[in-house]
Amino acid sequence: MPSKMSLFNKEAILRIVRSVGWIPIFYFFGLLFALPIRILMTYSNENTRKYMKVASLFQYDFGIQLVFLIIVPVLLAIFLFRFLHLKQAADLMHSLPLKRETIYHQYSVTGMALLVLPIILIAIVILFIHIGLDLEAYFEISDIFYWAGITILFNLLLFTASVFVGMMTGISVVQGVLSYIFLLFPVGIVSLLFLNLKTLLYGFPADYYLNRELDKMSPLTYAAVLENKPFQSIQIILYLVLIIVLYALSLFFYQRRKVETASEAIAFSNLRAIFKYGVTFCTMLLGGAYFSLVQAPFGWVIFGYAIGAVIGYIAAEMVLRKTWRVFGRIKGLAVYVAVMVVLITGTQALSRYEDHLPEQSDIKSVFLTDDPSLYLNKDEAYYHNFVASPLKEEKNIEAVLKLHRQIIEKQSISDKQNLYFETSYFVYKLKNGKKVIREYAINKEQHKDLYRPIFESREFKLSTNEIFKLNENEADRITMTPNGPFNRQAMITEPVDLKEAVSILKEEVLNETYNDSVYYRDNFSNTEIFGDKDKSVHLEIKPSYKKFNHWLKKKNMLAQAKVTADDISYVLVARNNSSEFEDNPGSAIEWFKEHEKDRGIIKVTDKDKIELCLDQASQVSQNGYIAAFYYKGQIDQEIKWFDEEHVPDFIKDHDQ
Amino acid sequence: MIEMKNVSKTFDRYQAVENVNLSIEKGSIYGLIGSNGAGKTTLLKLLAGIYRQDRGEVSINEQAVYENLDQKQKLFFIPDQPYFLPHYTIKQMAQFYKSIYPSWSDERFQKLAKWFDIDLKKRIHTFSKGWQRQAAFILAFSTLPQILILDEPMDGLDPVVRKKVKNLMIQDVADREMTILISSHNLREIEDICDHIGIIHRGSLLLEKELDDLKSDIHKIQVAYKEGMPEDSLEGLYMLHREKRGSVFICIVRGKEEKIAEQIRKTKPVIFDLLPLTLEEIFIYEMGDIGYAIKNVIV
Repeated sequence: MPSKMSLFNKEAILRIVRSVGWIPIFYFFGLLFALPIRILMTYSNENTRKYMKVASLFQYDFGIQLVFLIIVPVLLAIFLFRFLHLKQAADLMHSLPLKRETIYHQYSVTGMALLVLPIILIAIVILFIHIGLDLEAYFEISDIFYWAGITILFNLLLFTASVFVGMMTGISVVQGVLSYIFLLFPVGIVSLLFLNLKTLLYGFPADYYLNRELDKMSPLTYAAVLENKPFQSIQIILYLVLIIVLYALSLFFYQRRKVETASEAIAFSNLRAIFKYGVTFCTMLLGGAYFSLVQAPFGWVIFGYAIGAVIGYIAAEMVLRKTWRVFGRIKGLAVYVAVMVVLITGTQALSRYEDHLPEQSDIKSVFLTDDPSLYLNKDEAYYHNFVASPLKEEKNIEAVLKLHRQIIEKQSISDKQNLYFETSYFVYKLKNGKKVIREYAINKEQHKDLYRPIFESREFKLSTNEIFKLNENEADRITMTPNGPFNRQAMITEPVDLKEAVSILKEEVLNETYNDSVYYRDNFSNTEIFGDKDKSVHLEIKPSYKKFNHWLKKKNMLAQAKVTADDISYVLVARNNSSEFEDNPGSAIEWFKEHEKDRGIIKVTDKDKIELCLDQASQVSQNGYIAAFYYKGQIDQEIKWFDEEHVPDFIKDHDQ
Repeated sequence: MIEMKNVSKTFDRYQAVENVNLSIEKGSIYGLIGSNGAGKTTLLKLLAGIYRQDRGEVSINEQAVYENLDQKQKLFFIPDQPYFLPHYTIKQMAQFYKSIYPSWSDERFQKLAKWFDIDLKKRIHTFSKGWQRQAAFILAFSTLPQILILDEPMDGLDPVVRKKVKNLMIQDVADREMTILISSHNLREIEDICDHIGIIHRGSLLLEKELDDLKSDIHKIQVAYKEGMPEDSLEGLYMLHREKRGSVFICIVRGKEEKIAEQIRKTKPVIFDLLPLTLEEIFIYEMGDIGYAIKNVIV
C-alpha cells in the first residue's frame, strides 16, 4: 500500500525532527541534570551520600522533573501541530497528496518517539551509573524501570491530551492554555461544584470529598504527588486507555476539521457555544466559591455568581471574536441567566438532602471528626499515616445521631453569623454498604452537652487517639517541648521510662474529660513519641494530666518539659467579660501596657501563684479573666484566659 | 477534465462560493477572473482539495478530489503567497516534494534551477518575494503535475520572469497536455495565455467561455451613411450596443463576421470598418449591467 509506505519515510521524520527536535534535546539535558548528574553529585560527597536512599527516582530533584514533565509534552504538541494553526502552512500541508490520517500518524507517532527517546536514554545512563557505582543500597534497578515507565506514561498522556486540544482550536496560544485547563478540568470542576453545593446545601461534605483523592483526578495534580505516592497499576491501565482514546479522538476530529479554521479560537462551530457557556458556568461557580470561601454573607455569594457569569461570558466572547469590543452582545447572557435562576432555585428545593439522616438500625459504623484526612486510607503513601477507626457501639452511634439531629435543627442559629466555628464531619457507613456523609461548620460550644458523652466514651478515645495504636514497647524516644519562647526540650530514652510514660499517657488520655480537653487545648507542652521506623505519635501534655506531670516531676523532667514559674517574671490579670480580645491577643498586650497601673489589675509575682496560674490558664479565650504572662529575659508576653471555674482563688478574692 | 457541480462553500455565515458549475478540459489554460473577495481563492482551494465543499461535487476525471491521493498526486497548487517549510532551502524543499510526489523529476528540477539561476542552498525565507515565487514555480514544474493551480501567480514578478514563466506553462501544456487554472484580478495580465475564461463575482460564476468563441462571436463596427442609418435593413442584426459619434455609428454586434459584413455592405455605407473587440470590451458589452459593475475588475 503506497500510503503505508509513505507513512514513515525518512523525509517525513526528518521534516518533523527539523522543526521540533530542539524540544527532546532540551528535555534530555533537563533530565540529565535532575537525575544522573544529581545522583553523581550526591554520591561523590560523603556527607550527602547517606541521604541518597529514595523510595522512587522521582525523589531526586522532583521539582525540575515535574516542571519538565508538565511543560515538555504540551510544548511539543503545540509546535508539532503548529501547521494546523498557521493558514499558509495548513494550506501547504493539505494541498499535498497525503491523507490526513497519514499526516496525523506521522506527526503524532514521531512526536511520541521524540518524547520517549530522552527518557529512555536517561534511564540507560542511570542504569550504567547504578551498575558502575553499585547503588543497590540507594535504589533498585526496578526503580529505574518504574521511573521511566511512569514518566513516559505521563508524557504520553499530556501529549495526546494537548494534541486533542490542538485539534479543537486554531490558535497555538489557545491550545497551550486550553491544554492545561483541559488537564486540570476534572479537579477544577469537581472542586467548584462541591464548594458551591456546600453553600447551597446545608451539610454537604465538600471538604470531605475535596480532601479525598482529588489529586488523582487530573494527571497534572497526580504528577505533582508522584514524589510521595507510588503510582497504582489501576491508574496505569486507565492512563493507557485514555492515551489510546485521545489518540483516536484526535484523529477523528482532525479528519473532520476544516482547514480554514486555522486562527479561529475554536475550530468547530458547534463547540463554540459549549465553550462560551462552559466558561460562563465555570467562572460563575468560581465567583460564588470565592465569596463563600471568604465567608461573605449570602447576598455577596449571589453577587459573586452574577459577576463571575458576566466576566466569563465576556471573556469567552472576546476569545471567540478575537476582539475586546464585545460588550453589545449580551443576548446569550440573558438566556443563560434565566436558565441558571431556574436551576439554582431547583437545588434549593432539594432540602430533603439537608434533613435526611440514616436510621440507627441501618448504621454499621460512624466516624465523627473535625479532620477528614484522619479517616482516609493513605496506605498508598510512602510514609506511615495514622488511620482512625469508626465507632460501632450502639450507644455511641445513638449519641452521634442525637448530636447530628440537633445540628440540623439549630442550623439557623449555628454557623454563618458565628465566626467561631469548627468543621465537623459525620461519616456513616450503612449496613447496605452505602455511606452518608455530612459536613457542618458549627460552634462546638453550643453542642457541648451532646459532644461530651461521645468524646468521653472509651471507644471514641481508643479509636481516635493515635497513642493507642502504639505498643508500650515500641516507643523509641519521647520528646517534650514547652509551649513558650524557649529552645529547650525534655527527652525520655530509657526503655523502662518509655514504657511507663506511654502507659501513663494512655491512662491520662482515657480519663481526660471533654471540658479539660477543650479548656487546655494548645497548652503546656508538645510531646512527640517516636516509634519504630518513621512512626510517630503527637499529643499535648495538659496540666490536667496530673499523674503524668507527677511522674515527670519525680523523674526531674517537668521543668524541662513545660513552662514553669521560673520562666515567668510576673503575670497581670484583669477581669474580662467582653470578646474584644478574642481573636486579637496583640491588642490585649497593648491594653495591659496602658492599664498596668490600674486598680483592677492584679500583678502576680509569687512563684507558687504563678505556677498555679500556669496550670489553670487556658490558651483559648474564655469569659472571666484575661492574663498576660511576662517571660523572664524576653520581650515576649503571652495572653491567656481563665474562666470562673478555673480561676485561682486568690484572684477571685482580690477581685471581690 | 476538472469539474465542479453546484458547489457551495460557506465560512461560518459568509457564503464564499455559491452554486458554482465549472468544467475545464484537459490541456487547457483556464483563467479565473474576479475582484478581491469574489471567491477565486476559495474556488481554487476547493479544486486543490484543501477545502471541503459544503454542497456539490468537485472532481477530477470523475473522482472527488478531497482526500483523494490519486488525484492530488496529479495536481500542484501554488497559493497567492508561496509558503515553504520554515528554514528550508530549495534543495530541502525539493527533497520534501520528491518524497511526496511520485512524478517528481530531478532532471527537470536541475534544469529549471539552472534556467532561473537560483541559489539552491539558500534558505527560501531569506529570498525576496519575487524569488520566492520563482522558487515555487521551479518546485511546482519539477513535480510534472497534470494540473497546475495558480493563485495570482504573476504578482511580484518582473516582466522578464513573467515571460519565462508563461513560456514554461505553454510549453508544458503543449508537451504534456498539462491543464492550468490561473486566477487573477487582472484580465490583461493573463489574457494572452488563457484559452478559457471564467468570471466570478460575489461567489457565483457569471460566465464561462472559450476565448476564441468570444472573439469570433462579437464585433465592433463603425459605419457612416449619407442619409442616416437605414433602420429597416439592419433589423436582422443582433445589436448589443449602438452609439453615434458625429456622423459615425459605433455598434457592437453579435454574429458571424461574414454575415454581418455582407448585410452592412448591402446598405451601402460611406464608411465601414469591422474591428475586433478587446476582451475587456467584450465583457462589458456581453454582461451589460454586471459588466459595468465589475469593469474595474477585468481591466
